[in-house]
Amino acid sequence: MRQRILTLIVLLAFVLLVAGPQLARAQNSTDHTPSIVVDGYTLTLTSPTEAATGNATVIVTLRDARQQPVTGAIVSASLLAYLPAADGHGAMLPSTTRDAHGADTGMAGMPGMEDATSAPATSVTDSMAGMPGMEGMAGMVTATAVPPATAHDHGAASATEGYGLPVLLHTGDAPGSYQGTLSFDQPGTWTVGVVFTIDGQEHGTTFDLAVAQGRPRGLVLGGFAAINALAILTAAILRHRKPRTPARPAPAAATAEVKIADSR
Amino acid sequence: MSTVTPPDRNLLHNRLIGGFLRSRWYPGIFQWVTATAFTLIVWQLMLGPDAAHDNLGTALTWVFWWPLIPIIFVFLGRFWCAICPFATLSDFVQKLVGLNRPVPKFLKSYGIWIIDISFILITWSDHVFGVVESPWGSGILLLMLTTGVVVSGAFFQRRTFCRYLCFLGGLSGNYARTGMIALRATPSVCATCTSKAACFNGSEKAAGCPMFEFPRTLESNASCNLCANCVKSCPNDSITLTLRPPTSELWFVRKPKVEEAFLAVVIMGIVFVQNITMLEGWQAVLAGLEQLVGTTSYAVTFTITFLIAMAIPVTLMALTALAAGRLNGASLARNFAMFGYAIIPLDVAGHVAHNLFHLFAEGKAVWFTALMLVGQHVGEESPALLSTGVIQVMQYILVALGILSSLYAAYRIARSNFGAAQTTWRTFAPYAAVIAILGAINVYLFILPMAMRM
Repeated sequence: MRQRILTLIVLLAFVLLVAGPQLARAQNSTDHTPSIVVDGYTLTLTSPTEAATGNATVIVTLRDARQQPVTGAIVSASLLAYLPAADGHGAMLPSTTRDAHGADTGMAGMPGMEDATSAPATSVTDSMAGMPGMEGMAGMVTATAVPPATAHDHGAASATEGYGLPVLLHTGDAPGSYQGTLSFDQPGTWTVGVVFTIDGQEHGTTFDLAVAQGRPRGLVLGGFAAINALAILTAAILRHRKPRTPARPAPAAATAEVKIADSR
Repeated sequence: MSTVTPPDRNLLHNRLIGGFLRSRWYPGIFQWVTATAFTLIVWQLMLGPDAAHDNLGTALTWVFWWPLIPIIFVFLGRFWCAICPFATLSDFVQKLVGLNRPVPKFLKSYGIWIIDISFILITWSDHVFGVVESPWGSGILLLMLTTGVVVSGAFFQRRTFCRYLCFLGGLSGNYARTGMIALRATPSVCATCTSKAACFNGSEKAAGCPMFEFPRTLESNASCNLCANCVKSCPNDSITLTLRPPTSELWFVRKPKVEEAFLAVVIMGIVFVQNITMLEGWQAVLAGLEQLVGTTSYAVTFTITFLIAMAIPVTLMALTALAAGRLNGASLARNFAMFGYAIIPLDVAGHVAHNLFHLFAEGKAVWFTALMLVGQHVGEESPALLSTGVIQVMQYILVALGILSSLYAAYRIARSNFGAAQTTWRTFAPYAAVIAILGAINVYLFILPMAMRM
């Protein structure tokens, strides 16, 4: 009975490990960034899987004031800045509060930004000035949020400027969605600038996107599983070849006598 | 050698305790809980959120389990080792395919040194590679241990890994010596035993001692995990389970071992490192070190700090052993080995005090991350269970208790080894000074503001 339960636990562990990536993806996927209202349009930025270093798909959804999907818009996204991942002994805060480093980052006054009711971005840099629809952003506050210096990351954490050119997003599967691939080379909080053109008028905003360190999870887990399986298999084969060792090891009684003598 | 225990002091004579320990539910019922928790933790660490502050596995391991473990050792000895998921896995693999080969001789001879070195290396790796702060790193550590356990269970007898290789084994063995609960046999009963060491070899009721201990000669908690196999197997009811004053086992260690004493002293240095690197002033220390050695490599600067921190208590104890040797006539090695055990209460106190900060200042992180697992997000609520002031008071009290316990242990060790009053006090005095210095360093470190773990 006990062995059956243990077997069940091991099987459960295996199932969890196999199903884990899917569950983790589901857990970490959508709704990471709050929606932002720009000139009456509501935008969201999501990633179908947890954004990790390397290439990641991002999806921008666009709805009008009546919350109807906006189709036919020209939407582009670009990476503007990032804050390194706050590892080490940083403050123990839930991610939602840690990511929302500050509130107003001086976005008011930017063309197309006046009506932004939610502005989570904090690390917008001068590089945005070159983006369509972002002309007025030059001179914005750079790296307003710097995570607390940590025991392991004692260098100054600061935003890094100048990431990539805008990537034109193509129409996604759902109405009003636009998707494309961005390349993240560092884990941390990235500021993604989104510019969209509707009826010849450009609008823009920024999102903060948490990007995790890309891991070769399958390879590592598979490697460990293989080593363990090999050990178990080898033992099983060796045991099959020779008669089973008695449950009571032969020299045990002698060992006990030695211990008695030793204690005297 | 154990003495006969009056029946009324034997907890096994309590129907509830004795009945439970002899039942088939013990320790299995706890093993199932820990095995399930372990599965959840590994899953979260390897496949859950990448950020430590979002990861339930990190919170359960480093905010909940790690601070609790030394407290468990003080109250229940190595009970944790009986219900540890690694031990359960080892038993499972052994039943499945175990070859039950004898423990290699080199492990028997150098096992404790291997444990000492691996404990030091893991602590070093934690700081250099960020194991605690990285769920991935923590997960890799657990998988490496899992592999060691599986290999050990597949090829070797009993819990070879737990006894001779587990990096926590040395720490738990030392800490368990302060434990308030002791399992021993009754020598007079054992002397008439005809069961061919059923306690050691096992019987139809239970397996033999998984830790290779023979209860009849057991006189230390260091390697007894209270699995109760011997309680179930003994046909003569010789086994006793008694309460005793904490740290009393340290007052006389019949065969002190340098490697165990060394670990006790090194742990003091590791406690220093854990505290120093979490101080808000650590950055300034690092900056100074970087200038001094001309590199910004954290591996280099931390290694220097680590070596210095470990060298401080080791050097102090070695010098004291040298000085005491001139007064009591014993060699440096013998003095070091004998009195190294006296540092253990201060180790435990410093360790628990340090981790109280994590437990009480970040304790709610367990709940927060559990909520995140089901898609709920907590706002800006503090993860603290207690205020910093209250935690600090608790830390001071603990360190004070640790200092007093270490002083008393040193006195008792001196008295039991050097009977004459004059020699006792002469031997005790330099160790008292060292304990006071180490205690003062601990107090000072706890005065300084500390950063959090996650």
